[in-house]
Amino acid sequence: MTITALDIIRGIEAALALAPKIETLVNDAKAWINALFVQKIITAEVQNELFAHVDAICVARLAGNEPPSWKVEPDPVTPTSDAPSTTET
Amino acid sequence: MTMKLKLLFAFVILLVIAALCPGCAGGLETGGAYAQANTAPDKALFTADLTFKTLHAQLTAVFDFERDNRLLCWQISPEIKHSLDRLRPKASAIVKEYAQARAAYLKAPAPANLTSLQGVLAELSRLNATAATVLNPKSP
Repeated sequence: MTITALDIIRGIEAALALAPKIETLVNDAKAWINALFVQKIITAEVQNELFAHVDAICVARLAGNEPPSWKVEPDPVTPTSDAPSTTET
Repeated sequence: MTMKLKLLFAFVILLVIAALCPGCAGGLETGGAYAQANTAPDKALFTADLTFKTLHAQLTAVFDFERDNRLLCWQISPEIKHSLDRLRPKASAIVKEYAQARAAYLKAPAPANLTSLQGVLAELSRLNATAATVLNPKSP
């Protein structure tokens, strides 16, 4: 199956869509580092938020629940593009 | 994207170092989940949970990206999905291990239980690195 220019553009757009998510993670990590080394005190509110967040993930996983993207799903079915022509004139 | 992922891994390593350096890890306000009154603050658990949260979010971003752009990734190479499909059950198993190790540590905060927790985190970190290369492999 050939990759068209449109596919390449879609690929670039998808990668760019992921970049902000990664940037958010990086900024999130930066904020936490800042709390550790600059603010000196990690507030009770921040602690409770982190604990609750991790707890929720752990409780869900122990109950057998996980996000859909973590599950193995069937391979996509793509139509064949090179079926031989059966018509003759 | 590669540089940002490398930066994220560097922050994760920094967090682990912070756990080993009590003087550098900052203070935990008493009354929070990791610094209950009348008990010593648990900076190690705080750092472990923080690292876990970051690694879990990163893995979810990779899995979400492939799922949300599945057809396109498939057209580029079926191996993208297949590689991540090999990692998915391993990732789920490791996260479940972390949940079990964390529950054991919360029940009995002994050094051995903390070591188990940190060992699982190291495994999760390695799997994260592998998942990241699936979406952004080095060119030959």
